[in-house]
Amino acid sequence: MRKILVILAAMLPLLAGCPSVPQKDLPDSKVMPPTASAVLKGIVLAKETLDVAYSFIADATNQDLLDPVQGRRWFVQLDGYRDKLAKAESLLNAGNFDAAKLQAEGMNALIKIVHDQAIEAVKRSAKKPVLFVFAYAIQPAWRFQW
Amino acid sequence: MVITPEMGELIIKGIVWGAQAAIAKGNTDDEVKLVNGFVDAGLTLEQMNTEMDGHVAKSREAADAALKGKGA
Repeated sequence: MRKILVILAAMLPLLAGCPSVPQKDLPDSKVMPPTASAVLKGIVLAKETLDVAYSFIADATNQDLLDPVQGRRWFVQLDGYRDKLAKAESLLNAGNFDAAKLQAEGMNALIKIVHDQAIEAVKRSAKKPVLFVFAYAIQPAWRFQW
Repeated sequence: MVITPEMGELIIKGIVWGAQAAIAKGNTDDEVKLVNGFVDAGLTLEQMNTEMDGHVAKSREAADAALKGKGA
């Protein structure tokens, strides 16, 4: 029993997520002028945020941690931001770098807000902490030994 | 040693909670890992942009399917 509890305890930090890792710098484009390259980096990062936000909604919904109706609302919101990111890319291709940059940065920020809201909603619906379960589980072992 | 159903249930509860905690933490580290993976793979910025389109399409589809599966 103790072995199992030790294994379980060792697994929990892994399951609860790894510590944050630093993000590497994106390379500059070799075919675009520096300004356009910087804008494209912003677009790539915003798309990545979008990818993470969609994935989060999928994971949380599958785990029954998110109200599906609210999840759908956020999904529709994210779709709107995705369309505006496509617009940013069009602006970039048309040479309108300033507008594209503003659009990409704005969308990235808005997508992050949706992702944060979803995280908060999931935190509220997450079940009781494992320490309680762990303490409850180990209790008979204590009694047995002491 | 015999694992009783109660013990098994508690262990599973702990593992499930761990998985839920990972979700509740958010996927912010995934974002970093994806970018770092692209950089390590030596992709150009333009290739990264194309790759991201594919990732977004897949995760969007997964979210849509999950929501539809729950009736939303």
